[in-house]
Amino acid sequence: MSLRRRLLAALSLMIVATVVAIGWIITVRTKQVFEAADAARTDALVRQFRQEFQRRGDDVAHSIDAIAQSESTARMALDISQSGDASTYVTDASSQVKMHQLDFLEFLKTDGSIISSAQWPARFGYKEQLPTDVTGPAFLKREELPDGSALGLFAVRSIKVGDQPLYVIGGQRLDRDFLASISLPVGMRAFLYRYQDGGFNAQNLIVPGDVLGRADKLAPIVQAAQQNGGQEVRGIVHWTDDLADGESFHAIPLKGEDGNLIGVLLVGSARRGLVELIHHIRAVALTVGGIGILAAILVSIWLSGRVTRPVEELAHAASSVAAGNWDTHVDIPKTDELGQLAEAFNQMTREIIEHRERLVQSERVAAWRELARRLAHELKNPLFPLQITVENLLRSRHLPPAEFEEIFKESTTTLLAEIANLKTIIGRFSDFSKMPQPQLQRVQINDLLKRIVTLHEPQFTAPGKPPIKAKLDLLDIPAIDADPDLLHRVFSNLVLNAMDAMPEGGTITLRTRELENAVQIEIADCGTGLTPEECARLFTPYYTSKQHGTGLGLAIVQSVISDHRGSIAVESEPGKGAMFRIELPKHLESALRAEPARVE
Amino acid sequence: MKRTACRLLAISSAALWLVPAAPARTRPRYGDTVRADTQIVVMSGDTTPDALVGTVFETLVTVDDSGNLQPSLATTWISSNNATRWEFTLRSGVTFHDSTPFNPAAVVRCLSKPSNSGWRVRAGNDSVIFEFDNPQPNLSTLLSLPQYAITSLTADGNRVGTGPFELDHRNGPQFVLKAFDNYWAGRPFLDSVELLTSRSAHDQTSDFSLDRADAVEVAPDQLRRSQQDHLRLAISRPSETLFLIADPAKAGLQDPKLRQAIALAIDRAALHNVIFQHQGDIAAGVLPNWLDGYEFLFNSAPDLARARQLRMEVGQVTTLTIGYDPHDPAGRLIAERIALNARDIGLTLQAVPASGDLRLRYLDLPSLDPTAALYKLLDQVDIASPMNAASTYPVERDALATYLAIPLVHLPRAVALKDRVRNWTSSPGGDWHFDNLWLAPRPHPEVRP
Repeated sequence: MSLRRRLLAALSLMIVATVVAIGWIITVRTKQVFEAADAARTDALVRQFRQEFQRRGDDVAHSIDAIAQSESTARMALDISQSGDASTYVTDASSQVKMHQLDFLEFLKTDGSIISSAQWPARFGYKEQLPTDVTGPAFLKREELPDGSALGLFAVRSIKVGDQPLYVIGGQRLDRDFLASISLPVGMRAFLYRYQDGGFNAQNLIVPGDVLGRADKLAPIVQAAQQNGGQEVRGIVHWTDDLADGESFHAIPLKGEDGNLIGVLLVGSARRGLVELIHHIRAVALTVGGIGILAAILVSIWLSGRVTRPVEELAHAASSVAAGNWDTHVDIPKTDELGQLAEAFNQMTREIIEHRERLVQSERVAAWRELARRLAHELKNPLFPLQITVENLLRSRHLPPAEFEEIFKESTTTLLAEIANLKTIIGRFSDFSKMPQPQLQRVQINDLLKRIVTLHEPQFTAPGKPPIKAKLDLLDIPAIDADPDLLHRVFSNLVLNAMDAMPEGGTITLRTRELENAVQIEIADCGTGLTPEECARLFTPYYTSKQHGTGLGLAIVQSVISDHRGSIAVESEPGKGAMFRIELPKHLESALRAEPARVE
Repeated sequence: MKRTACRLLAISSAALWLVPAAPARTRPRYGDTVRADTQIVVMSGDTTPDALVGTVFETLVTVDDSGNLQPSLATTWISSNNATRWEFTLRSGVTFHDSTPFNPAAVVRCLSKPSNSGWRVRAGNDSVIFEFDNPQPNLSTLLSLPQYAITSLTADGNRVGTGPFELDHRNGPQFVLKAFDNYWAGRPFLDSVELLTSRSAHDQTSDFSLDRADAVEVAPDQLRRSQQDHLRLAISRPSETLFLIADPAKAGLQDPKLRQAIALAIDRAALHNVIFQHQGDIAAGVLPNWLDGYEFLFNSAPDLARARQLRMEVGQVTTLTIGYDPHDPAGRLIAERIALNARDIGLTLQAVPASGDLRLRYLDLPSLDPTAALYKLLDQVDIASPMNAASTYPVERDALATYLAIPLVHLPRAVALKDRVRNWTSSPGGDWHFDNLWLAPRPHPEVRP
């Protein structure tokens, strides 16, 4: 992945991560704040309910006080205590309950039998459980009615005119009117649930206004409040699949005078505001994130224009230098680090060029020196016999003719031989300077190697010399594009070198195998081997480790291999022989597009 | 002795001083209109409502306060051939309100109705002769019932009678009666009677308080309070019976055990003592004890243990309804009380202000003759009974054993009267008699000096 893409991806990821993190933090924080506000509102409502409850309780207590202290009740109590007949007052509770705006009112005799009941007039004569506290505040009570039961806020008082007290117990119903009378903030509502035997029953749910659909959704929180030992319970009810229709509920258990759980107040707070706020924040975050990503792309492009383009130019220039274009120049008109880097790069290329030119110059001088040395050395050896021979001729011209004739013949023979030697030396140098270009054709390397072994077979087994054995380890390799004559010269040279390296005899091994895009040829001996220094200089022209070598053999070998866009390397240790490894491309045309031959 | 003589002289003087005033208060006064309210509902198509029998319409015989048959439009009657032939001699000098003569032919025309199939009625010289295939020992009693009132059809299709008042006109529930000058027993004192029917208890109270009615009915449950308020009341003997009628066609009530269980669960004493304020009597039979003399033989006490046992034997029963008249102030309370009693034996009854599986029904005593009253009442509650039974006891016993009509309370009929209403008379059964009623003049408003 390019630096520009990496930079773009990194910037985009950073911005997206930042936006997501900010959105998440805002969402979580908003949720916390909203839920805190919701809890505060719920608590306020609960306090309001308790105040309303207290106020209603006080109202009920005052009403029951007024009824108990009324003249009609006193007359009733007196009449009943005197006559024992309460039948006249069977409807009194019904008339009194309207006057005092109560929902429940009963007059009880001392034994608990009902004198008059407003909520269930027909229950006269039936017995009720007598209350214990006839002076206390109002309390919650579940009242049985003909059509079920109801929750109510009750107060009880007694009046004693004769010997027997008469009890007045009454209250207000906790019904939908009661719920409707509680002023709630927008988005909040309150329900009442009456506990009865059995499981959750929607019929026991009192709601303000219309009937509540899917009331069974409240069952878990109602049951949790019941099972939680009268502790307050919170929960979320999802009325539909839409999360915005959810509602947070606070279940407040309601206990009767005896401490038993008789109902639960459910205070609900709509979560639509929260969900919509979260959705809004999410949408804003996504929008900002999208804009941020777009901006990141633009910024990345801009930054890459400022940062990566010089780097890319530098990289391109470096590649160009690596390809041999030493005069590559980077033009970055900046004064920052990249500008300094570009200037340093240009300085480096300039110095490399200068150094190369100096190196080439010095190598050229060294080569000429080496050439002059070699030439002097090569030419010096034949010249000395020539000088001796000519001096012998000059001295022998005073000798008798016969002797002179003999000396003359010997001298001319020597002169001709040395002159021939000089011609040979000059011919070799001429050949090296006139190395021909390869004439390509399809060549089977294995066949070529077999012919070379056959050609040198007589030398391997020459009499008076230690025998040399040739071992062919040739795998099936394809034909390649090559010049068979040049390759023949290469392989022959290497085989001759191997023979020279094994004066005591040994084995020459020739191996071939196929690589992915090339074929590999190895020619190894078990001779004296080479030192690392010798390996390093082995292919240098005119370098030789032999007594009578010109130092051009392996240089020619390397030149031929290079012309075939192949490579040659040597592996050797002193005393363990040497192995020359050659790799030649299967298809020279593709190899020509590749890098030039390398020397390892 | 002298002191005693002086005292007698003083009393005599005072008596002599008061003598001229006394006739002025007690002497009947002709004229004026009495206004009476009643809850009795008269259907628009009913041309001879029971409420007007005795006032507009008359029967051949009547029953007096002692339960004895008395002559009315028939002066004498005699049966023969083992009560298969009856001959009623008609009163002479009687005319219908449209001046058509009252004669045997008119009686034959009136009684030859499809409902009286099986009767062979023919006219004699001055009598009407009834002949039957089977003995009818109770015919004279039956003919005292309102349904056998003698009427005549006028040319314009109206029914007219022979009573002391004739129907002047009808305005919905209001009947305006005017005195029939040619009434055979003499013209009534009143010029007219305005009878407002289908009047609720509340409206009657309002009419009475606002002096828009001279006589209004007082519901039994309000009777005690009315007495405490010192209203002038005319209270009859317990002559109206509250029944709980079971519809045997309804699921569950087909089983007599369930009906019996309900009957045994009902606390009649609570109804009588509390709701009806001790007025009337607890009902054990169809007829009140004062009329038949044997009602005490029937049981009226609740027996919850037996009721629960019967209820369990019946098994699963769906919720039943008990209907009450929404215009009856005590109706709902009674129905709910019975529902409460039923709940004690594990039966769910729901009080509804309409016709239910069970329903409360008030039935007036139709006659002061036990036989006639029993047959009529059983007929009204759809319990079949033999009309020619020699004794009413087994008939009533068998009828009660069906538990189709459970008598709850015998209630009196009470009327609150204005002070100016004089000589108010009603039968022991509570039927109103306007023929001897007269009104004192209205007091003049006080004039301040």
